[in-house]
Amino acid sequence: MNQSISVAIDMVMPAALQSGLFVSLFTAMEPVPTIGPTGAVEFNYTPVAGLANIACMSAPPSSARIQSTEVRALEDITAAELHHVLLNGWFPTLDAGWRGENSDGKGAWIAQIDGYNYEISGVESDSQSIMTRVTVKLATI
Amino acid sequence: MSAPIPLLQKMRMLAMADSTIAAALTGSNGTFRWFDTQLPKGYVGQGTCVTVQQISDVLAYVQNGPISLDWVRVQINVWDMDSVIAKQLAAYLVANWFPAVDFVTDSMFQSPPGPPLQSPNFKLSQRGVLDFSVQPTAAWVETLDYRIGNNITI
Repeated sequence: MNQSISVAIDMVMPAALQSGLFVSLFTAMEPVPTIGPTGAVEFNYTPVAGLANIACMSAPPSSARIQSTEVRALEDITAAELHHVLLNGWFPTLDAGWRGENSDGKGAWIAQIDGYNYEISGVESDSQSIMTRVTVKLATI
Repeated sequence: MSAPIPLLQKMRMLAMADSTIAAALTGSNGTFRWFDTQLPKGYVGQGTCVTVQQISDVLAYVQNGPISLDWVRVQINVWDMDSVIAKQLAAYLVANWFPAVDFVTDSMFQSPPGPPLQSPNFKLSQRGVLDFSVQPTAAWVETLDYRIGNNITI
């Protein structure tokens, strides 16, 4: 018996979650500015409503080998740690807001995964609106 | 004796006390958009912003040591998406605010505040540029370069 493909699509993320591989937690954090007496601004990050503690799978970009990301320049050395994060579901607010160019204009969001803060390099959702994927980077100078 | 207040803090306090500047820089969210050195992301979209940074200073010495009068070179940037508004606020700072504020005495920081005793603030230059790092539309920046006499003991 043929059934609509939408049923199969709807089963993708529940099946992935049931695999037990979503062992990490993802929280999107937005900057909240505090203005000092001279007008100097400090940013603290607070969780974005609706985007806290999302079960996720935080994998390296390549399963075959470690990526060599260290860059040596004259003045400093940068080492980047990249992760490709699959969230447990579709989160359009993350897609729309992570650049910080939304109405509140507070600035770019960061990602906290299992207690570590990462820069968000990119967010993409699939064509069927069932999953959102995030590329994050931890850069050390 | 209380600790001396940094010049940039004194400038921000007196700017906030000026009704014209307060009206130009205070948003509906209550933020007074007069910042120290850095223009935080997102604010120039809310309205006119001012950033102030110290470029250098010359502290004069006598035989016993430094005197309390510090000559500070300060750059004031007035930001707006509309060049006319940025120029208007810059013109107000030059024509009205800087001649009326005094960082050499503590007169204006008394309660009630007294009049400025003198105006040792000298305009050195003014220029206008576009800042293309503000996206998606470049912001107009009217830059004032001042030499300000600041009493470092108050």
